[in-house]
Amino acid sequence: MLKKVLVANRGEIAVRVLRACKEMGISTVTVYSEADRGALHTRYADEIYNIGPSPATESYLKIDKIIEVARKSGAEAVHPGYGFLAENTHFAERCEDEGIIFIGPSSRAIKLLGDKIKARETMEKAEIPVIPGSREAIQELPVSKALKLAESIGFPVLIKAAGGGGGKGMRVVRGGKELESAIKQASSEAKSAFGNPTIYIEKYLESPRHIEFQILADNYGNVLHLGERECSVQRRYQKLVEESPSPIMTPELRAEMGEIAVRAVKSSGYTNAGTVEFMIVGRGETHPYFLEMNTRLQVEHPVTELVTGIDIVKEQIRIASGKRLSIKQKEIKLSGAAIECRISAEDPDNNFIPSTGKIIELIEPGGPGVRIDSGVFSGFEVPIFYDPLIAKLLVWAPTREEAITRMKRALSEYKIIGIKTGIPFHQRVMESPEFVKGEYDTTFVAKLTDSVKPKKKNHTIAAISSAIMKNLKEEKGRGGSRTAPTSGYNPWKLAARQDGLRKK
Amino acid sequence: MYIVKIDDKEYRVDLEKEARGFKISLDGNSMKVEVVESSPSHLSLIVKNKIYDIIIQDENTISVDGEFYCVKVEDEKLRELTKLKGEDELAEEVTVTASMPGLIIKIEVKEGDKVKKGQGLAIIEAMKMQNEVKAPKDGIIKQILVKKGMTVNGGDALVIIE
Repeated sequence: MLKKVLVANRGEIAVRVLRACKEMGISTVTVYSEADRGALHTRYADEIYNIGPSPATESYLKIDKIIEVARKSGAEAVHPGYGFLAENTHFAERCEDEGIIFIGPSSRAIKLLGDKIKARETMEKAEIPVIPGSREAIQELPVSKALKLAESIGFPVLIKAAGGGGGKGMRVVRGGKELESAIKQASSEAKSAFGNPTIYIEKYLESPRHIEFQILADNYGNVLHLGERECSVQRRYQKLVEESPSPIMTPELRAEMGEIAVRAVKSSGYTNAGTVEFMIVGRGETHPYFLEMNTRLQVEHPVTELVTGIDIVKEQIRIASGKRLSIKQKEIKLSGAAIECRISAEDPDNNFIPSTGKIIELIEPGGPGVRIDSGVFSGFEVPIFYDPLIAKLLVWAPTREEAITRMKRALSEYKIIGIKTGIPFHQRVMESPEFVKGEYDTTFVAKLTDSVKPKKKNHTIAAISSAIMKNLKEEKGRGGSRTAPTSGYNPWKLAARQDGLRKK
Repeated sequence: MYIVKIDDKEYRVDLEKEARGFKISLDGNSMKVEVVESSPSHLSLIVKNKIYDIIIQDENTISVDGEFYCVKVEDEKLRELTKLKGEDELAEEVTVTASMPGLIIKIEVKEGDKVKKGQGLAIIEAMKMQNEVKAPKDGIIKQILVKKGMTVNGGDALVIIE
């Protein structure tokens, strides 16, 4: 078993991995940037190393610095978490060259599956259903050929970047006229975002559900799937709520998709923990398409941990240590229902713009069936440099109905003062009839923002509290300097906020 | 007397300090409210044997038992004053503020530039999101108060347009 592990990440996921190491008696090393001096993850590690300035490109993304820390500290293995270097082929290669164990798949598997055109090809060879589309790059094709290809697939089509994700370099094309400009735009966007202009074309699925399978694979060819996670609550391709089991899952469909996921893993020579993502259209119609494979630990992995009782991070470490999987597929049973809400520092009532600053007070929910994976504490200043995810709130209950009521209860107890978070958004999701019935797909969030207004019943208490807050503030102000009253409502500010927001 | 506006509805609240809280008059109805102040931004109110958990996120956002409200509180007297002098100021000059905290990665105008409503002025980046601050009206850039590479807080003044 590994004795010393470097956790090359920050925030909640670094804390998550450090916790697993501690429970396994493994000594831990972690890294931090200038902005993360005193961050929670640094407090949970045995040794910490400063790796430079706050911007990630100068710290958490610096391969040389991470390798140097591994050398200096004598860590035998690196856990990359998610994001940053987790799916970086060069980093995995460097680890392999330096004799440091990368807790994840081989660089070869990352490279193969990171290129979506190659990944599709591999899957098709293994007779895995992929979304109908082009087998080659299309950015260089003459327009007439591209058009022929699009017509053979059938409009609407989706143009996608081969080297990236997160909605960048992606365009929906509904007719032949838009094709040429969409190809140009998508390709240039892909080039600037991922340094790779390669794009391809596939059938655009209307209102699909996004369902993924967690897999575990050891170094001896044993592969297991741990069931599915439903991830259709998304906004601009970013997941917000995940649950397991999926409300549309049947034992037959699970067996079918699980078998495909295992085959996908075997055909690509993949090892360690990973996720096979599927798109599925319609309820009850079994048409799962392979979407892509994520070659890392996922943000939402605890959802699966709660329903299977398997600690995925510990399994990752065991696999990386060269151990065989000790569980059999038939021993894996999903029990009860789990839901995760991603708690991000952003303002859901204002186009989800980031909300950074100091957390003045933090009260976390507790009680039966509640799990929080958090990277912050009271007094922590949320930096502007990194992902807005600060914590994940999860619940488990014997049934989905109870899990939803438990999540509502937990959300109402969760108090994060000083910054805005997605908690009010999650409350709306839990109230929405579509979510409660389990009848939702990836278009759910766009519709939700218009339809479900939060139910509020304490207007008069809010009015009284506002007056009291103002009065207390004025009382305090009387002692010191009086500041000019600022008018709270500023139509210019509001107009400027509503415009011009875009994801890089 | 305070005037509190929530969702287009106005409430008139008068308060009188008492031993453990306030005597409140809400639109003419009076009641006793006990206040437990656990921190400047976290209060509990006890009203008619019910306890409410109040969180003050910022000047315009409060939550009651986890429900969020967008509020605007004004002192009645101050409101009269600002009404008198406020309107013509607004027509003359506008201070454009940062819509979110972040790093100024680009300034797209210079002092003296003519700008059209909706034209980009500066780009702020935080947490992998870029947000373009746009001109709220036609005008001339009178002053630019920030530089590329500066960190700003939400609400900080960036540009003055006249």
